[in-house]
Amino acid sequence: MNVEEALKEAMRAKVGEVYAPPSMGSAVRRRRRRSLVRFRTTGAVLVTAAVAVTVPVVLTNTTPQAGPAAGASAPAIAVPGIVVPDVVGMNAKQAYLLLEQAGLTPVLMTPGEGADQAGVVAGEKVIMTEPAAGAVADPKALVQIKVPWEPAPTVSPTAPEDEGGKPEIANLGDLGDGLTWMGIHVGYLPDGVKWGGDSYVGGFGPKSATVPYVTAGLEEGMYSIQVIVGVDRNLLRRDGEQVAPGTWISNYGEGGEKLDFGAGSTLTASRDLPGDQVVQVLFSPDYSASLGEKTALAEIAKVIEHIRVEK
Amino acid sequence: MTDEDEAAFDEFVAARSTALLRTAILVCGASAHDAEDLVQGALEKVYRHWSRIRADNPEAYARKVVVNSAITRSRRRRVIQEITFAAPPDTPVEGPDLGLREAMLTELRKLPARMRAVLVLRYWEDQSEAETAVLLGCSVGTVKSQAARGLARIREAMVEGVPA
Repeated sequence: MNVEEALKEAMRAKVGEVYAPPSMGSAVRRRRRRSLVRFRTTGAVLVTAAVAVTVPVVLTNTTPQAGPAAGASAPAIAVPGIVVPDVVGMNAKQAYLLLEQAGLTPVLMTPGEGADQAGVVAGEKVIMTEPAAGAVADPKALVQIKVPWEPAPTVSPTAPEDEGGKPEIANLGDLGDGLTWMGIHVGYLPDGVKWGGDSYVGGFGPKSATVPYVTAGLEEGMYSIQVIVGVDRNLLRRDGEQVAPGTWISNYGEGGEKLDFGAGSTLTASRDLPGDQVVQVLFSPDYSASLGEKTALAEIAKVIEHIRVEK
Repeated sequence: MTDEDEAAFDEFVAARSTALLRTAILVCGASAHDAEDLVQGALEKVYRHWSRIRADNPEAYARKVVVNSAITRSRRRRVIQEITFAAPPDTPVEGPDLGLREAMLTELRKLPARMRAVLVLRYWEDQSEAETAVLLGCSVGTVKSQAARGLARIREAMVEGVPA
């Protein structure tokens, strides 16, 4: 064996059993959404993205991540067989190809003839394999891919809610320096952050608006700091650390759950303004990370403190 | 992004993410978990420009992003590794019982990041010299010389790794 082949073999031993998790696509979208300007509320939290995104549903009725990846960094040991990769949650076609690539013989189990009359069809996502992921099978061994039976589609009931692209949303027009709008004035922004020209009206209930502020080089649709003003009391998150009278700061995840400072969470400050208004300030995960936790906390406190109601 | 763009992106991720992940692990020498994070980051860039690049070889674009961020990350790791290695180890780094593969992989990890990337692209991904040069933004001559030097060092490790 020459050195090129030996090297290739060694590389195969190292990563040949590593598979990307089926959740990769949704993880990518989640990551993307986190830094997109937000302009809609779902209940108490701000989670909806500016761009319509269909997140593939990943079945959760089996243990996730129980794949062969766990053994990936172990020293190469000669195993007389093939470890069945974890394909649960994947699209059946994709699972089929992957098993085939792994040197196994996949068999897709379908509902069979007459299923249409019975009102069921094969679903797309794999719910289990036989043998299961992690089992060692002989090369070319049969692996059954099982998909759930689902009600056959009748008339498509799906309303085309968001048909891609940017929804049309009213804006506040030219705000000049972008610091005074909706009856408030943003009195302080950290160095290098300025108004990027966007604003959105009505995304957070009645009498609400939001304005994103950006750092140099940020793409369209992204924010570094976003300020939201409205009268919806849900904008006020009182469960964080109280840093001043009527002012709270914490980090929230996509579902509004409280998290530690980090890439998976959005640093958020909210404050009860005089009158009926509530203001919320968000630092995007990327921007927070660029500052570091201590500076980000100090800056967000300063930003929200310096927001005042304009006469 | 249209629904069709979204669906095509899903298909792309399903088809390519495992290959990208494997390449990332080999180039940056990181754990599968770290490499996954890196691939996610790269795919996010692909997703951002998806409607524009989907018709124009998104795979090459994704691979380029993955390889380059893996090089960057492995350079960052290297600083930490070098600090750790500064203290002399109690036992020789390469024990006699380590297999040939392990010796080669250890040697691979010790190579400069770019040289390692050349070897991974050439011998794991089977990219041609010209393709590798495009991916790394260097000349074909550089790919040739880096591959030759990298292989020479792996060969040495192979010879040493074979039990006497």
